[in-house]
Amino acid sequence: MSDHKTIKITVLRYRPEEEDAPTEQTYEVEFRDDWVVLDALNHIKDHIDGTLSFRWSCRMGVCGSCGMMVNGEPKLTCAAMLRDYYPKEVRVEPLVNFPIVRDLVTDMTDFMDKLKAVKPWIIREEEKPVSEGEYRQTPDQLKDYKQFSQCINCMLCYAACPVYGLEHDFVGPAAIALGHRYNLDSRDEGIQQRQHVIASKEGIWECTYVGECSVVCPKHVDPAEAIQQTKVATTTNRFKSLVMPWGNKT
Amino acid sequence: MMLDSETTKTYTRPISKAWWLRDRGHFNRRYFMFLLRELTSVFVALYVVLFIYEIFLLTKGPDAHAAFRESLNSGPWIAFHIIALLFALYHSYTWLGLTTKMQAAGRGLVKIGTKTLPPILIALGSYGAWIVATIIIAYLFLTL
Ligand code: SF4
Ligand code: FES
Repeated sequence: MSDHKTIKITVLRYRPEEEDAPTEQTYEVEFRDDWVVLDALNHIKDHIDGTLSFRWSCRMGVCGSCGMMVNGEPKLTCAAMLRDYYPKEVRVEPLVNFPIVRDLVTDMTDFMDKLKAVKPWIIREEEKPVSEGEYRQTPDQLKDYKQFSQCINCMLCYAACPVYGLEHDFVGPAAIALGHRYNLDSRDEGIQQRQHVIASKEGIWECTYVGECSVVCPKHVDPAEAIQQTKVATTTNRFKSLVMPWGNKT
Repeated sequence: MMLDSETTKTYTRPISKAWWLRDRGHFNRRYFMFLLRELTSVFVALYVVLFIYEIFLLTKGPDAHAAFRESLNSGPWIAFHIIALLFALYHSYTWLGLTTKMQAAGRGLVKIGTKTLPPILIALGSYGAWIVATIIIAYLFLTL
């Protein structure tokens, strides 16, 4: 291998049946200019150590399953180029703020529960029959929420959020952004059913605006923006219903 | 993956008390600036206490008040005022900067017709209003 360039990959390992706390393991792999961190992990699994566990699927930044900490930062490993780190060694850890199941695999049950709680689907007071056709929408109405609909549930924002790390009840960036996405959708009538989750103490008011969620988001969803927008909208609506109690309450 | 917490032994990593200084071996400037912004409230609160005390002294007569003002002319007090001012400026600047967030790509909260007002205008408007208000208050204090 002497004429090949190599790079050191240090991985956090946790094998619950063997150890009580994670340990580290360093692998030396061939360095290829066009490899992403995920390629190096797959190379390790295929050729060096088949016991290493991690999640991935699409290899193209769509499925959201390959999120890990790369040198301390939450990243999609299928989009993190090795050459951006070379010749320094690369440290890969499971996403922080989530319990580790094995090696680089985390338990995402908490996120799944929160996602479900914000009801991320179109809610109608009354469904119209299929024969009446689809619910139509103008391009302008689509623009209102499109950015927030780009989320791939990769949970990088949860790993970046110190509030979520310290306060696990926090609904968190992506779930709030997705709830907000449906609240902004002209076809949706479910805002009342989401408010008790989103506009609550564990929802938007837990956010102290660190802003790191938006920095790490690979899809430019800008969850921090969704949260701030909801704060302003909720406050103005409360205020309106105080001074105009006869008005439309939301 | 949904887990049965009864049968799965997961490991939860502890969070260091100094997470805002050293985040897994790296300095994260944004975490630090965030904590600094939280800290601004301490200095604002201290200044308010000082201010209320000064108003209280006014009720004790002009001499007590003048003596107090005189004592503020010492180095440490001047340093405190400068630090408190910097913190207050940082707080207001970042707070008003947030107003752009209610505008950007999603549905802007301030609209003219169907057009969302550009975030930069909202920010400039907020900073402008802040500067004008500061000038008016400074003018009132210095002339009255
Ligand atoms: S908001 Fe962004 S960082 Fe968070 S889960 Fe969605 S895509 Fe990932
Ligand atoms: S493997 Fe699907 S996002 Fe990286």
